[in-house]
Amino acid sequence: MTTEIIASERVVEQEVKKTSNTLRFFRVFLARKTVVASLAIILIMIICAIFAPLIAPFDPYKQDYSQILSEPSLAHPFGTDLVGRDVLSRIIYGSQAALLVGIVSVAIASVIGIILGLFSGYVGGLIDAIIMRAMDALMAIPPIILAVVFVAAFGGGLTNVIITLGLSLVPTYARLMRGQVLAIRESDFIVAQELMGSTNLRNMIKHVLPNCISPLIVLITLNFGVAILAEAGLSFLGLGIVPPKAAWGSMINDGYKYLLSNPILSFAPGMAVVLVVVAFNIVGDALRDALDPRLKGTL
Amino acid sequence: MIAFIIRRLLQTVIVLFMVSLIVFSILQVLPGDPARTLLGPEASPEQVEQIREELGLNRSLPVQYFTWVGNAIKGDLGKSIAFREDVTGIIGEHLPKTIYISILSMVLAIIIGVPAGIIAAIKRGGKIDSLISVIANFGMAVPAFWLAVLCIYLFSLKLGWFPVQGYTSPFEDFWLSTQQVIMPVICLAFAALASFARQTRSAMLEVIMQDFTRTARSKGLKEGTIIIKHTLKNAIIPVITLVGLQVRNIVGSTIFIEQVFNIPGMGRLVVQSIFNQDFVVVQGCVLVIAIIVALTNLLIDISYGYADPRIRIK
Repeated sequence: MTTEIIASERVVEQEVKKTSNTLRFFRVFLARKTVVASLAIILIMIICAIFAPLIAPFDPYKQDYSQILSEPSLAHPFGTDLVGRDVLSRIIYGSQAALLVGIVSVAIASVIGIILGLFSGYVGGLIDAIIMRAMDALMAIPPIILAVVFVAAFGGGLTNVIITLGLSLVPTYARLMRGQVLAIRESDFIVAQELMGSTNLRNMIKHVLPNCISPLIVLITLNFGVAILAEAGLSFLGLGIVPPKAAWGSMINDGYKYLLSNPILSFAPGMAVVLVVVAFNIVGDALRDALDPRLKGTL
Repeated sequence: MIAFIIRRLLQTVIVLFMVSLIVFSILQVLPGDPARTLLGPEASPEQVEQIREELGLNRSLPVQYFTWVGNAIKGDLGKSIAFREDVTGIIGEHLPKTIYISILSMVLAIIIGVPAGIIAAIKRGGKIDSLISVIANFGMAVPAFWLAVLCIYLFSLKLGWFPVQGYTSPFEDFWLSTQQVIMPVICLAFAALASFARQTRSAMLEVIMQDFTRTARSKGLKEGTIIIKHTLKNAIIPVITLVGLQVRNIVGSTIFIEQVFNIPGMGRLVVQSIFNQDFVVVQGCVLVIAIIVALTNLLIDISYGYADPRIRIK
């Protein structure tokens, strides 16, 4: 009877602590209006990408030669491009490429990076040294130049852009995980386990991963922005998404030729990039402050 | 200190060795046969075979790699297929322009970004702080090439303050060169400037909250003395680390800026060579860029270890 009461009290206590933690998280996370606005922007972008055929007022590929380079109007809020395609519809469709590149390349980078970092930190010694120097080498080449060379080697197109950007983002994750593994290794409970002769990789992962969740979430959010920027850059250079598929970067480049007469052609897709990347950055910062204020300055 | 320098030097050598491996293996996957590109589609198989022999393409990969690295150390990066010139010579012609605009951008980013961060930290929560943070957020999200397009539209086409594009050496015509270089440098510096402002601000805030700052305050020191003598000195260390990262980003962004502003530097050379399928040049460029980035980071680390003795040990 008494033990039961104590036990149930404990459960209540734990629940209170849990909800107050979640509450604290949401209170800090949603404190600023900019964060709520950023979440709204990200949500709108996701809706645009998924429901593009329903939302876009025109077919983004349909060329209308009676409407070449028309000024912004009610029918075409951002005007039309040099073959009469509706710019707004193309921006809406462009969110598909941006979102896909963001999600998949960051997924690739984080999975490979986490595995490499865990392994490197766990095994140590020569293998660790080799992996980490390889990461340093990847980091010595500016990511965008690495991406350009990758794309040159394997060809452009959505899949290759995703793989390329994914690989160039790996080192950050590997370093983060390795650092965590090394820190955890020193801790008393792992040393105790080692003394009891039960150190295995699974145990390690079980203890290391929970400690990395916060920095990982923050890093992943911030990297969405990085990946979207890089995709826009590659497409701008003509090395990314292959036209006529709509991509914000290539739209900026196409519009650049008509900068004097139709500046909106370049301005509008660039605005889309800036809005989305700012939104991811603000959400990433807010997540960091809410999840773990100590991370400030390190991520 | 000497042991620290030697260790970092060794690390840099290993990193550069890895870079050369990465660059070499990426370019092995590249499409097209250099010999055929060189000779054109009408060449006979015998001619192609002969050129392959001359270029050493028939030898095994490890032999090719070591020949390439060996020659690179001697300063010979091979021959360009499109320009029919020595790659080293071509790079020698393009590199100074990139270095010139990159250094200007870095200096601009530091002399504006760091003070902006300090002011934001001192006036935290105020109007200036939020203004700086809005600009910094924008700066970190804006693609350099789009910023360049905006600048060209506003300052060249509408206001006519600066020439649209082009590059002149500052030794040739300093005034014209400066006019041409202002917009590219600002566009290149903007993202780095934003990072510096943010990093300085958060580093300053961190230090302001520490005990020794409070002690300094309770001793009755003037606020200005505290900021300059105590806070800044400690806050500057994470900012120095950022320089290394930003060198990489600025050099990377030249690939866009040189394209938009038509500056014949390394970034444009890389893009052009990719479109020309001139991969010997791409190989050389990436290697040279990586060496520059690695060496700058080495210098930064050494000066950093000099400034903060704690670094030398780890």
